[in-house]
Amino acid sequence: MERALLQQIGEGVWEIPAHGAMRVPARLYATDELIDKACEDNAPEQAMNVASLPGIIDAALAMPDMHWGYGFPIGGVAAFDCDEGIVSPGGVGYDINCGVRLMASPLQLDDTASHIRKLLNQLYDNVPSGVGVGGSIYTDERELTQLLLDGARWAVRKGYGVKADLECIEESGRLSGANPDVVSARAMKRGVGQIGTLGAGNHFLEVGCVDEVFDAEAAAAFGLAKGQLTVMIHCGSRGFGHQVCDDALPLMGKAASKYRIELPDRQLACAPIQSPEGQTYLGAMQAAVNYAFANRQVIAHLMRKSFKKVFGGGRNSDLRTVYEVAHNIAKFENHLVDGVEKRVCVHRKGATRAFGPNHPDVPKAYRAVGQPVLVPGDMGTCSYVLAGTDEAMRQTFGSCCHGAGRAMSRHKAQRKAKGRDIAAEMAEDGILLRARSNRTIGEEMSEAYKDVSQVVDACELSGIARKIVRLRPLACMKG
Amino acid sequence: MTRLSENPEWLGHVDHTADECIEVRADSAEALFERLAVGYMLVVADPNGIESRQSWQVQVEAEDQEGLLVRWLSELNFLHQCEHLVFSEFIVTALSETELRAEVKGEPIDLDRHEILAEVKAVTFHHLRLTHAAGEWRGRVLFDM
Repeated sequence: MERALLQQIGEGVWEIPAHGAMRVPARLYATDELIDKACEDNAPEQAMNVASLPGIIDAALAMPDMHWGYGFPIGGVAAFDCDEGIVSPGGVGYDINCGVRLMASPLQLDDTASHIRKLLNQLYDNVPSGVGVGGSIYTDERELTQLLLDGARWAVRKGYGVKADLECIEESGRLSGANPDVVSARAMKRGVGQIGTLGAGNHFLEVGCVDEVFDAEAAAAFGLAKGQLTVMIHCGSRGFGHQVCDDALPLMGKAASKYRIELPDRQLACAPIQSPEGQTYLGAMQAAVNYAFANRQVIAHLMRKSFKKVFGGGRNSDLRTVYEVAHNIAKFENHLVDGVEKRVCVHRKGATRAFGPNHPDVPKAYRAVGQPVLVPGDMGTCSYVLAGTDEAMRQTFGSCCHGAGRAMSRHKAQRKAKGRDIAAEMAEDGILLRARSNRTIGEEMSEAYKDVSQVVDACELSGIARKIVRLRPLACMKG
Repeated sequence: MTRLSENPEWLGHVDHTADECIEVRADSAEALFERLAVGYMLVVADPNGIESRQSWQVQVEAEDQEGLLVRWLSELNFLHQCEHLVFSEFIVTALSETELRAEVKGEPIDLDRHEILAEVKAVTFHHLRLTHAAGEWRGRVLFDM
């Protein structure tokens, strides 16, 4: 995209004014360096396409980790009017409610360093991962229906976790609009066998430690201190969510014609929120959201089992859920629009909710600080815990970046990794790695990603989040 | 009929930041659909060791040929992931603007003999291209990884 189209409107904020079919501007969050990279990619054009969709409010947004997606850019955020707006599977993605959970151990790295390899091996044995690998939890279709209605609550009811987990999950681990009746038989079939599985690609489990504290008061509120052992879970709704999106696209394509919605990209197929087609997608999508909440809850349980095996019972093996965020989702939320509180449908695709201080949806223990925002980096560098801000509420419908974002295609990464032992290179830096597939290791190496620190700095620069702590990886498990 | 083989000369890769995009050329629409199926298979599995032990009939319908292409590859992805199959041969037996019938040959996944390389979350419409000019068919499809 031509850089000349961009106008800088604030520190780390750029705008493409509405023109042509755009109903609102496109607004991009990036440092000078990141905006140059974004212009080499198609993400800005995709944000412009989103800006042309009916009922969009304020602007089509792209977070600092933006990159070329399909339909919406990855890092895309857009809010739509509930009466005049649309809902689009292209604004949610195939891996519905892909997300991250951060858990904190009472153990310190200094006391546990010699156990990290054993812990990684235990996780590798306990948590099913890799392509097409089935779950260790048996569900039939009747049980799956309950899971789709109740999300993480289903898992806690079944003994996979504790009630305190639910308080620290976005939406308490359940969306109430799930409708299993509109889910296809094929999606049900894909969903039955995959609960408690990590999957492949960029999904991971990571054992790390708090490496640097930027805001001691906020870190204390989140229960995080320097040297503390942490774990992160990154996965989503598995084949169930992929199928829900797949099923929706042809129906939404027809709906777009039926409701005379001009689509600049077929992958932006959509339907009015209030239409039967829109309601059908929302019911199935929310069921997939709940599937992912349950999946991460079961994996958290398997994490706890692994800690118990390595560190013994009692307090040592406690893992407290710090927070869990969704990355790929469309949700109804209240936001100020032209000074008036309004219920809108916020699409976040490769973006994280980042509600500011005193928001009622932030857990009480964190409310004075703001919502914890979890930003995993690549497997060889670091990750961040940020806090949502009032500025995010004003500028981005309470949204922020979701990760480092890829900088290199998978093929290019494979070429760069050829002949190298990436796991050995990481071990030299003190990071252990296990993966089911060697190809995944090459594709996911650090050089294939943007520098997460730059992405996070871009969020701070524009004020949409602030840094609380940095996490250093110690052991990483990939599918 | 198109058989699975390593690095066929008619298959290309388009660089994409996050996902996997393949491009194929052929001298008929049927061969193009078969070759795109080979391209899909080479993304998800190492072709070595996959044998034509069983066959399955596949039938898909869509509103247009682009939609048909997405449905065809999505069907193979579903069979691969849910029925745990890998494929070695593709024979498109009937193809119109809105319907495709095919016979696919292969076998159930045996992890002792088959290496699974990657997971395709979905076959997308993004960047999709299907063209026919001067006797040559070209197709491009992007897989969400």
